[in-house]
Amino acid sequence: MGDFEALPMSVESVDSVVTTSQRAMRPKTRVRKSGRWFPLFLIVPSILFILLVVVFPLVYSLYVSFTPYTLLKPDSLAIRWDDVFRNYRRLIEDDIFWKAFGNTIIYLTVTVNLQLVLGMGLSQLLARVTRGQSLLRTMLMVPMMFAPVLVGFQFGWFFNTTLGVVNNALSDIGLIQQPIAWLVDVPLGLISIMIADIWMSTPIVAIILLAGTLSLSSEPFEAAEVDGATAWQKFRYITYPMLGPFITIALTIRSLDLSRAFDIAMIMTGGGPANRTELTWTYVFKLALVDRKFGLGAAMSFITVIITVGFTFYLFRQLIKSRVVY
Amino acid sequence: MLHYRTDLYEDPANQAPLRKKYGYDLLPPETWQQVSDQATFFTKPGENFWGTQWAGKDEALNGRFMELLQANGGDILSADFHPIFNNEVGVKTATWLHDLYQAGVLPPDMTNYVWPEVANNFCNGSIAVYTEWYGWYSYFQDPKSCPAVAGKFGLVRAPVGDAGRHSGWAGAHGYSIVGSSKNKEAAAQLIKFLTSEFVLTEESRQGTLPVRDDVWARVIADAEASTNPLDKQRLEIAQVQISEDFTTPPLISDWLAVSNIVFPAVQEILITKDIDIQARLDQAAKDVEQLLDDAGYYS
Repeated sequence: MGDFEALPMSVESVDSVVTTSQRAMRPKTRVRKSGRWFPLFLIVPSILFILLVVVFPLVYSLYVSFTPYTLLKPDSLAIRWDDVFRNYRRLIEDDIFWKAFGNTIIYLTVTVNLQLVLGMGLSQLLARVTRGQSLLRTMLMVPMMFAPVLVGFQFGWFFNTTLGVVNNALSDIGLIQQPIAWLVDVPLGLISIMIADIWMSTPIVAIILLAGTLSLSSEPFEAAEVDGATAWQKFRYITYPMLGPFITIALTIRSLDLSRAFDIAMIMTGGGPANRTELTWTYVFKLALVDRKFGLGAAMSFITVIITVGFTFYLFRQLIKSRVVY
Repeated sequence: MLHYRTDLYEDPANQAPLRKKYGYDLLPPETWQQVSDQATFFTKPGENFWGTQWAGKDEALNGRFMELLQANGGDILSADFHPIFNNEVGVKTATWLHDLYQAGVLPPDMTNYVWPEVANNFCNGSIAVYTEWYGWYSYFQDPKSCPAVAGKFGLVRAPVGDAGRHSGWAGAHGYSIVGSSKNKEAAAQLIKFLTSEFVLTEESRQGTLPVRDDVWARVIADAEASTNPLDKQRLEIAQVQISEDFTTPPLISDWLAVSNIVFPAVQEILITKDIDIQARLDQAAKDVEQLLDDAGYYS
């Protein structure tokens, strides 16, 4: 009994319990030891697990990032002390790395914003639907059910210059005379990938915002109606500010998703042609897994993660600053 | 081997104007220069029709660049693994590709193509003449899969370049038994079976090329019985190419990493209107040199 009662308490309280009641029966040291270590002992498995799957790979990949390690040459897994920061220096001097990085920022910013605007529009329209809303909601979610790789293949064919449905439709209705190289020209390549992602992921934003809209209390809207507010005023001064937390959630999910964008871009353009649509993770994939330069790939992953965390931190500071608290 | 559309080449409406323009009869091209002439002649971009095409990314583009270089007397790497694709021949070959793309003779999104896209374009009837793998033959000849070209194309040996050499980038799939195999005897039996006359004959009937002489003799004899003379011609051309033209890329483990430096450079040269081709090739050569130096090829 005494042992169990003592468990959640601090060492001092254990002492006091023991002093007042049963000092003679139980040696003080034994209670203190088990009281201190038992809780720790209980979480040992999870600590070991985290060490094994999170901390060890992280530290190991940090080590690898300082070596010229390539998979086919096991001997290369050793730091060259004459030039420790070699991988990092090479990347910082690498134009493609910076291009990939710039592309990722543009891709993230434009896509997230468009998804937010479109998602907001869809959610407000859906919120007005009185009959068959659940059916429409389910239909809206269809794009989310496709694997991103399939979305990539699908849009890759859509935008194919010779056989694609987009060019064929445009030329059939006489809008273009010469076929457009959607996946080649700048900035059409990146735009095509953005369109695929917007098609696939806008529903997520719309569903989150719809849930938010439906959860708002009706009183402010009724009051606004009485005061003769227009529909736009109701949206601008009531719905939008009250949806603030939901917008933040949607933005967070999408930004994190997009900052690790890979699959759709890899299938549609593979980062090409000539690195025109290279994103950070398509480039890491090429360095680490195609060229098997694990050292360079690890270094680039670290730089990317650090900059992404910094960027996300900045983004949310600005976001929170700009939000009015009600 | 080179695939060309017989309906276009045999059409008198094409023969006379081509002779007038280039001063020779419209026959399947024997040189890469003729390929570019004829491809330019046939291109009709407004009608979704291009003269020629290549797979335009990854090792597929690098391999095509390599075979064009070799036909012109150049190569990607020298015998001691130093990059030489930025020499005079390299610049000339890259410029030739650049000019074709910029003239609109190649499909504008060619740089996104690998094998399925290239084959689909030909099957769809959008390409006049190009080099292609042997294996699509039965697919192209089937009116159900490719009504636009079935029975309307011919095959010839790949063209020669400036050096008088036929291009022929190739490789074969081989079998091996790993050292740690627990049952080497059974593995050897399996390989013997897979490379037996019976299995290879069956496979060759699906379109792949055999590696055994007895199977060659048999499939050519079979093809003789076919009503389509092209069935036999195809095998005879393939046999010549295998024995005389085929070159594999250097058999080094870093080849794909080399390829991943070269092909984006070739892509950039293709699609960029104003580009210093020599400078772009020099830059890629420098990167290849650094890569192979790191990997210990020069020490």
